[in-house]
Amino acid sequence: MLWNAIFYLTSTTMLVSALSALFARQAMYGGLYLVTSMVAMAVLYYLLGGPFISALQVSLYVGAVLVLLVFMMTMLHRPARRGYVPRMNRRFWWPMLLVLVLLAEIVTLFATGPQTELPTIVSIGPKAVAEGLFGHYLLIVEATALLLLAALTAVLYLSRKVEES
Amino acid sequence: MLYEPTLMTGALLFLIGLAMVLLRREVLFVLMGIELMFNGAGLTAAAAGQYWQDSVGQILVLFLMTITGAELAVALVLVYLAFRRLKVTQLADIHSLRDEPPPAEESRP
Repeated sequence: MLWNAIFYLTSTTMLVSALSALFARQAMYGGLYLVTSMVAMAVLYYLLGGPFISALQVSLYVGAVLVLLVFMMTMLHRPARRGYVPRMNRRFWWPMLLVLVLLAEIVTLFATGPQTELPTIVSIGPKAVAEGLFGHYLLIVEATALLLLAALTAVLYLSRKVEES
Repeated sequence: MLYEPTLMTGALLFLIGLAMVLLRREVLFVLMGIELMFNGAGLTAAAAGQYWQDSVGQILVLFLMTITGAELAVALVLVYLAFRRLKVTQLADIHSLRDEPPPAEESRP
């Protein structure tokens, strides 16, 4: 019962802060709302029995991805740029209509269908995850390492100093 | 704990990210929307892993995080290059594939 209350409170926090990021005027505030959303996400992972990915969510998303985003915001800083105001014109309402249709579908699908009770939440620790990762999924881990190497090479190539011609 | 509210939370987070990609014009906000969409997919994967009481869901979330990092690094470098060479931060202004030096770069010492 208490876990249910924590779950609903956390998911509400996450969704509301994500919505605030959607309507944030400045990029920095959007990033801060995103941080709140990601920390709430880490709590949700923990509630769903994943302490390892919960820690990784904090250290990887909040610690690396969001820091990268905030770093880029400070690099792209333009003083006194007017923020985005969601104007009520045709370019706003047409995508919004699509999003609202999708929202209605999701709510209808998940809220009115049959509800299944999750079995007792079992905490699946880092050991089980590592056994799967370096046992059955070893090839995908190697492929991911190769992908990261490719991304590193691409970033180094793109960020090199442009030669003066 | 019920299963469907968890799935609905993931789907709603995905939807908010999709709305961010569709409605915002700044490139940084579009990237943030993509992050949110990845997170929604990760929440669904973690919930499904708990439904079957298996570690596969968490492994999928781990791969999602890694791929997000790789994608974001390359995307941010491209955003920075677009800002430095073309002086744009809006998505609609990036529409040129021609590799010609912009006039702002020539005037630099």
